[in-house]
Amino acid sequence: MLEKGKINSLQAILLMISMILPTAVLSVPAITVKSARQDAWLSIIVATVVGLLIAWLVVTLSLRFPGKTLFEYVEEILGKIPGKIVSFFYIWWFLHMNALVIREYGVFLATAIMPDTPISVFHIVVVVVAAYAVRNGLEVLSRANQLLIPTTVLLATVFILSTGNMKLSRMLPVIDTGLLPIIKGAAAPASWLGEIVTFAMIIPYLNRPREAHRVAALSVLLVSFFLTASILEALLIFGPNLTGAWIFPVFNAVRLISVDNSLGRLEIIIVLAWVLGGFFKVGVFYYAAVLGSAQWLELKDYRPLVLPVGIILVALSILIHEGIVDLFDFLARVWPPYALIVFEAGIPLVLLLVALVRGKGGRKNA
Amino acid sequence: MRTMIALLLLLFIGIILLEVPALIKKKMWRELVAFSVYLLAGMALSIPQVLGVKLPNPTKVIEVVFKPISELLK
Amino acid sequence: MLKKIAVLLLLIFLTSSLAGCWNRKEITDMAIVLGTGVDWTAEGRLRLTVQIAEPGAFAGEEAAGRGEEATNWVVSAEGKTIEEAARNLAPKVPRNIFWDHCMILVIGEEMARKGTNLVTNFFLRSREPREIMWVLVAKGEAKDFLETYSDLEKTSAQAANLLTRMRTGYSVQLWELAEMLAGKGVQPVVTRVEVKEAGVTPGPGQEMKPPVHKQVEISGVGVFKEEKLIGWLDDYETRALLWLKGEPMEGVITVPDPGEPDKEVSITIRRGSTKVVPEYDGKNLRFAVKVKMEGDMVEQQSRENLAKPEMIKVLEKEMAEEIKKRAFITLEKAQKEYGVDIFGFGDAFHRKYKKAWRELKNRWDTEFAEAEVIIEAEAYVREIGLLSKRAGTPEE
Repeated sequence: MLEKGKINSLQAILLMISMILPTAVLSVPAITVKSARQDAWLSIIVATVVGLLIAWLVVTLSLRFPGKTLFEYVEEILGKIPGKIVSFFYIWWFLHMNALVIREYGVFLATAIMPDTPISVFHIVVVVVAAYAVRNGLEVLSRANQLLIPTTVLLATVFILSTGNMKLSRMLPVIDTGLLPIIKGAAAPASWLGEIVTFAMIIPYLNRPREAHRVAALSVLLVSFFLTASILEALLIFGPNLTGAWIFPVFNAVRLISVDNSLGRLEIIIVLAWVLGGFFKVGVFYYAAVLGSAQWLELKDYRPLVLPVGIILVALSILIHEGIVDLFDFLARVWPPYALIVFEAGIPLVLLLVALVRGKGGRKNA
Repeated sequence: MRTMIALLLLLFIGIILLEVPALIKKKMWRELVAFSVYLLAGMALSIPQVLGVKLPNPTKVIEVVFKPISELLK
Repeated sequence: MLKKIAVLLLLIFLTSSLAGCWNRKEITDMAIVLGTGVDWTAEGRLRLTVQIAEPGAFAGEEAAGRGEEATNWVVSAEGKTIEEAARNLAPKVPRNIFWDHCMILVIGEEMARKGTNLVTNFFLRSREPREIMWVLVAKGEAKDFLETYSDLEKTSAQAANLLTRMRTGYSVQLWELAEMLAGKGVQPVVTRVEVKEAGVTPGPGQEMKPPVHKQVEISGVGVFKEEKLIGWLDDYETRALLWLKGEPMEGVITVPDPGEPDKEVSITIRRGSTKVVPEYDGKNLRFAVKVKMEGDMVEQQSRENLAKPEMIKVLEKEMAEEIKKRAFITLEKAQKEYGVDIFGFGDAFHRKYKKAWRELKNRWDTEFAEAEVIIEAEAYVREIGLLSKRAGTPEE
């Protein structure tokens, strides 16, 4: 086996949260509020249902093939050649998604804090650190990730300090313009929650695979909770119009905090949490792409691929978008259908159906 | 730009020095080939960008296919 | 060999991080902007004025004797946009202009009539200025406002900052203005400031009367129709605007004494709440506004003993009448004279009638101007200070 580490359920939950949440908090509020307006929280509920379905789908599928990752059982289900083709697309997807994540980070740091620093510097720094973690394996990645727990206390503090600026009436009226905008607004958060598909790369390394269903569902629910909190943070302060106008509404909401005119400028806490979380988000997808590649090419060790993939990631993250407008247009209008229909729901569903029809996997084979 | 190219080449040499000797010693030929292919892909993506050559953007294809689906929802 | 390379790479990475970031700025290289103002010139250009702190004057209370050392420096430049004006400012300012500590944004009267979004966009978009800076509309030019001197504070920007922060009038932060501009349910109002003669600085051995300084003063609000200034409300009307908006309430209500109507009684407002209930049947638009207020009696001119439950009841009734009267004056002005919904009744309507709102929102101001508004006030006097009767009243 390529990966010898084992992680427990709590570590897996934390890793899944770090894998989805950082860019979700960064990019989703503006996208969702733009279409669902003050009903954005309803969009998140819809998205959570989708996320839970995807989580159920992917865990059910993975548990039919104990000890195997997505890339290994694809071939068993579809046969060698079609399996290799599907695997190739998944590797591309992991790389592409990671490049987007890296770009979002660079763009955020450049526009919000350090405008004079070339964006590629952020990309390189993120990837170098993530590469180090990935080379050390899943166990190291998830243990380091546990260090993030204290930041939630900081974030909760920031949220509580913001309540002074909040008005609950900004959430009214409920279901203002019908259901369609709410469903439209749910597309982006659903595609983020659907990233739980990547869990298929980690299930074989859980020390208690039987808890996988619970791990996936809990991860999705916790991410939804944090995402809702961050949307409300912006929405209850700025109202739907202004929230939709900011690019990073949560960042702006935190910038308003000024306790008694002495404690202010707390946005750096948000930046800290995002930067730390970002390393892990990049790390998980990086790991998925590298491990997947090694399994795809049937290698004995995935570590030689870590650095070349790092180069590809940095180069791709610069190449794929020209600027912030291009990037956010892609995230709002192309990414949700692309990720949801093909990689998050489509292929896993087809795989499960084919596996059932052809009688592959399942307990009798285990 | 020349320094950028030099730095990039230095980086590639560093990576090769870091990985290749161990792979040869352990006779992991399959891994060596995979490593080389991935590294070449990385070079192909990064060197032209540093030189200022415009590469085709793979996400444009994805955009053409999936943007209409988003428009449908409008 | 491998280890040596790794160590070398690590060393390079570590040393490069020591050099700091690209855009580091030392405090001695920065021109810290305390307040800024924008005017619309006669030639149709924007004039940006910045009040820059003189760091030496802030070094310590002792060192900065007033009058000995200037505390700030005010400089202006023109341009087609704010950014262009700021660039034109650069050759005059020998340091990097640093916006992060800018406390107030003053918009000149002409500029406000031209449109605030020509000003606010720059400050909302860029990273350095804070969304929580106070926005003020100057009667006259913003430049004159920033060039005034403050006796009590170090600069006029600080004085204005403190005045708005105390919320003596209606205070609005940049993001609140942006929010009011973004929606259709409420039209913006912005604090009005003026430069007026106020107070003297007495000194020893003065033969003549000390000169009167011109200083900043908050005087009501400017009323906007979308981004354009269309008129003013004075201090008295602004108070009622706050009540109708349901903003935190402060202020004093003076009513005739229940016993001797030619004498007055003053009541300070402690807290209050406002409820706006819209009613709409598809044709007629009606608003029932309920203002509830609690206050303390702080001053009495008559000899009457008001510390009796029945007298307090009378006082409360008079107070409620006064609240209604003042609210009505402001409402009339908003409906009849300016024809804009500055109270946020539109938002209240939207919350209750979401379907009708979609129809009405594009002509909301005309709907609002014709709407019937019923104001009800409830008032309570809770405390009466340390005296029960007027001290020095002869025994009866």
